[in-house]
Amino acid sequence: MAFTDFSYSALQDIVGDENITNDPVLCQAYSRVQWLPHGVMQRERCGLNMRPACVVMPGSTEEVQSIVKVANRYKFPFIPRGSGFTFHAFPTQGGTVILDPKRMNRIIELNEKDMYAVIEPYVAFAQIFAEAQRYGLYVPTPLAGSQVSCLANFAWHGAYGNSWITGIGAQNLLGFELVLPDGEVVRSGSMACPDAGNFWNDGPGPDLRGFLRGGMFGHAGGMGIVTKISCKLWQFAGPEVFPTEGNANMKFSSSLGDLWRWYMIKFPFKYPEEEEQELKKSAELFYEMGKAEIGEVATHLAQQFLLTYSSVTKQDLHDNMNNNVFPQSYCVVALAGKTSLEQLEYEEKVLKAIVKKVGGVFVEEDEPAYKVWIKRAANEWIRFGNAQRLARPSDNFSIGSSNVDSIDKIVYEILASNKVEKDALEEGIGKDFVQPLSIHGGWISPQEYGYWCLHTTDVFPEQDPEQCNQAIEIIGRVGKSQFQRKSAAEAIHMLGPAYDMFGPMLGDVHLYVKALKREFDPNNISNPGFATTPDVLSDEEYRKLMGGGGH
Amino acid sequence: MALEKIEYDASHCQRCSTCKWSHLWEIKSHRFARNCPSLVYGKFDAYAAQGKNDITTGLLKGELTWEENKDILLEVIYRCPVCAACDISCKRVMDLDIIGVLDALREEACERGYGPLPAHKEFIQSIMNYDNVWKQPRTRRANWARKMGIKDLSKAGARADVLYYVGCTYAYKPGMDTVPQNTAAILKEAGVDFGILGAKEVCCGGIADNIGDKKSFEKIAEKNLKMFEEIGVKTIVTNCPGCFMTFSEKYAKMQKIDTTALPYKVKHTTQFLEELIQDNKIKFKKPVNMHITWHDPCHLGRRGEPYKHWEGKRVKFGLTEPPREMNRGVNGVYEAPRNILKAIPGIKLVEMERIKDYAWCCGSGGGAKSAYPDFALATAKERIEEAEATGAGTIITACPWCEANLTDGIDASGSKMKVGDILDLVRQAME
Ligand SMILES: Cc1cc2nc3c(=O)[nH]c(=O)nc-3n(C[C@H](O)[C@H](O)[C@H](O)COP(=O)(O)OP(=O)(O)OC[C@H]3O[C@@H](n4cnc5c(N)ncnc54)[C@H](O)[C@@H]3O)c2cc1C
Ligand code: SF4
Ligand code: SF4
Repeated sequence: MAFTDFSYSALQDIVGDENITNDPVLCQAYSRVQWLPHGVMQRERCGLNMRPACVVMPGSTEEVQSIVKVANRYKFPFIPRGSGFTFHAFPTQGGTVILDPKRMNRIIELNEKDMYAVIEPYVAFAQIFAEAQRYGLYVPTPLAGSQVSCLANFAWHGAYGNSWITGIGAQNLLGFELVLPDGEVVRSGSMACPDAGNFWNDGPGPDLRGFLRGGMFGHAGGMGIVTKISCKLWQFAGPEVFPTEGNANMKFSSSLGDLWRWYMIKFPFKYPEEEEQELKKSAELFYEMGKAEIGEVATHLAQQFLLTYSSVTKQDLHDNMNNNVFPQSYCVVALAGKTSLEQLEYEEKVLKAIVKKVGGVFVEEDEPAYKVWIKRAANEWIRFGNAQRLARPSDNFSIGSSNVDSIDKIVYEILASNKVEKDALEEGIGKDFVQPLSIHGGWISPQEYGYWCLHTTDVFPEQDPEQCNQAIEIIGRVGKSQFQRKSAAEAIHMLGPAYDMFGPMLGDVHLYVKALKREFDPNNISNPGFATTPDVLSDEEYRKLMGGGGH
Repeated sequence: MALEKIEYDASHCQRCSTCKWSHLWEIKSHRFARNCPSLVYGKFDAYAAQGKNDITTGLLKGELTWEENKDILLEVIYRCPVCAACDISCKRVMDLDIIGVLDALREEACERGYGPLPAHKEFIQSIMNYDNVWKQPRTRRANWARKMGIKDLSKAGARADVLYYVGCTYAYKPGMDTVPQNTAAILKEAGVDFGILGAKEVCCGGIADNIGDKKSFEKIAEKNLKMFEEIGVKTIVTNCPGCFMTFSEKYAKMQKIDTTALPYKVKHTTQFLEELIQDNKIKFKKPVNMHITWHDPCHLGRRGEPYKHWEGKRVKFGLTEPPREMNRGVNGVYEAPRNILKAIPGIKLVEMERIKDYAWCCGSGGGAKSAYPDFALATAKERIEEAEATGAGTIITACPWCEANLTDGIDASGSKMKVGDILDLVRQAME
């Protein structure tokens, strides 16, 4: 059954008139997301089916449960929202109901002693950061920006600017409350035991974090709606209030005080010709830092990230690109004296010794790259996010990522991905994208002291279907090559068939996920369906690549 | 039609939602983190800049029609004080003319005959009939100045270095006449050669532009520009941020020139007094022992930047040809009032959480108070709560609209706070 007037009245009874709408004008504001070629193509294909039939704002877990039960009764699909930055949070079929979480926006508890916060879905990262900062604590910020929902991101198992120390979302998730696709509530970890505190997510019983599909698998079929999480807070060596200078887009934060220091490190190789050596040296640096267990942030940024993240305007970005302000890639490191200044100084000595050992050079304060990155953008990295700027080169970008267990493998991945992109370019695919930004891997994020590593590769097309299709093709080719190399990759941006493709490499996880989905959501109404299936990577083609696997 | 001009900007919104929050570095608490009064009141995304971009794109693509959705469209468009908090937040990450989208929606509503709203039409009619927004006779316009011996520059042969332009609200609103009186007294004491336009002063017309009625705006602006030319005005000083922005930004934009190319300079009183203090022409003799907080009026702050004219097109990658310098809220008037307050002995100034380029709007601008009084009141109450959290007893501002709306907010919330104008404090400290 589709979404009908009966369904609407039933939802209206739950949340009240003022918290629900099916007005086309109000629903239009939930109908398009354009930063990614997939979003553009999804809109091209789904058209007005991307406009929800209704937007509903529950105010409590009980209201969420009731909504889900009504959805099962009338069998209409529903999609919960955080801020709605990802295209997975948008309908792909008519008659879908969006749950807008704005009424569930409380920080229920902030426990400075046990270092966690219990929050509802609409709490943004920036809000928790600000509250935690008063107690000398902070929360990791995804590059997506601190305006997004912390809960939606943790449910997506996100990655952060300081994942070097914090790891991914799952590691920061200390408990959750989830309304299952049939309306039943499940709580995890110590959240399941009344008055036990909200600091521990393991047991009793099995680890339930896998239930949270979030954005990554949301469109391969969700598993209900998270109504509360407990998120881990980390010690912050910066001040209680974020220091800034200037106004608006010329507002900078050049210093976080005595206990926080940024460094930019380069290796004396010719870029891009000797990119391989540069990447290998960077990997060595991270391994050594990991062994020494130093650092708060450790990451490797190619030109495209440096240019986009530090830009104050689009023109400024293109000028910096044309003036070659970042002539190469750099490693960016932050050290934090969490216990004392002595700790910071000790770590600095160790870092200097490591950099010397691996043949690196600290970028000097008077170099343009230092001035632009450290003075303008570095502190944004941990509090603002700033990847909202990633679309700045062309107002659209495409992202592919790989996610593996070692930094060495990531270096190999980047080089291979760059080659795929260069080959495509030689065929003329992507020739109209912003060059040279569209060739070199953007972000290498070694996580948890280098125990594993994430890398993204981006291209910058304009927002027209022709260029978007080319971007999807390039990212698709990169994904395909990852598969051929038997490398792990995230299925984030190649949803649907890609999930089946990567499943066998991950112990047939896709089969378990699908079985669980069928069991828990027999009506297939919780984030059902797939997003765009890229033309260039048909279901058939993926299966062929899989050697017949999948499904 | 107006929307076509901003098609690129609306359709390239990436939906990041940065426009829905205060500057992300500056968020200091969970409570005062949001920046968009329209969204906070309306809750659904349609009321945010992001939603208005989607709606604009929908209208341009024919997915929505004006005819079928007139009422809700007008509410989404006009229940917004065009405070530009969204625009400034967005421009930190993108290069889209968001305030241009909001303006174009209003302009197109008027072009199609759906806008402005009845409450706005009353304003426009009043300006046409009486040269002021308050339906008051012209003869009463300069009542505040009686017996003050101020030059009337509208009289033949009268000349002065500075035109002190009072504005409709300070001129007519009961209880607000102390502000022009104090301003005139301060200027006299500082030895400034100034005059007023007396009963011939005409509304600046900013409200007409704000609500999208470009035709009426142009008529009013031309009348004023003619008068300024006749009198040979070189410097205009005004207390009202709305008039300030209109003379400086809107008149330049209408004439397709930069603010710096206007034949006159416009200064808000706080800028002018700051200079007089620096030049030692104003001296404070008496401490004013008050614990205050400062409310940045949007038209003085993030919307108070000089205008840089641009005519061109979007080219490859969304770059502009020729390169466009957009107003981004960097050079608004933020420091002048603060420097004045710091110079007055005895004043204890504590800042609210949302200030300067990311200040929370009082809720009154853009015709919002006349058309949606409940919205304006709710927005003011939010500001009062923020002000109360500072521990200060008084909110000081420099805008008649903010002062009136914040006063209503205090009355409605039962707060013990008071609202005052910065000019009154300056005067007290000089006496
Ligand atoms: C430029 C850019 C950079 C990015 N960088 C990063 C990054 O560095 N790290 C990172 O982790 N991510 C990144 N992302 C991805 C993504 O934007 C973020 O992960 C972000 O957290 C999404 O938050 P949101 O509030 O917008 O979620 P939404 O887009 O609203 O939702 C995301 C998914 O979660 C589901 N969901 C939302 N709420 C709930 C709920 N209550 N219960 C169950 N499911 C729910 C939605 O249905 C959807 O499938 C980036 C995205 C962009 C556009
Ligand atoms: S900040 Fe700008 S780009 Fe982002 S959603 Fe808002 S209007 Fe769109
Ligand atoms: S102008 Fe102000 S109220 Fe209107 S949408 Fe922008 S932030 Fe919201």
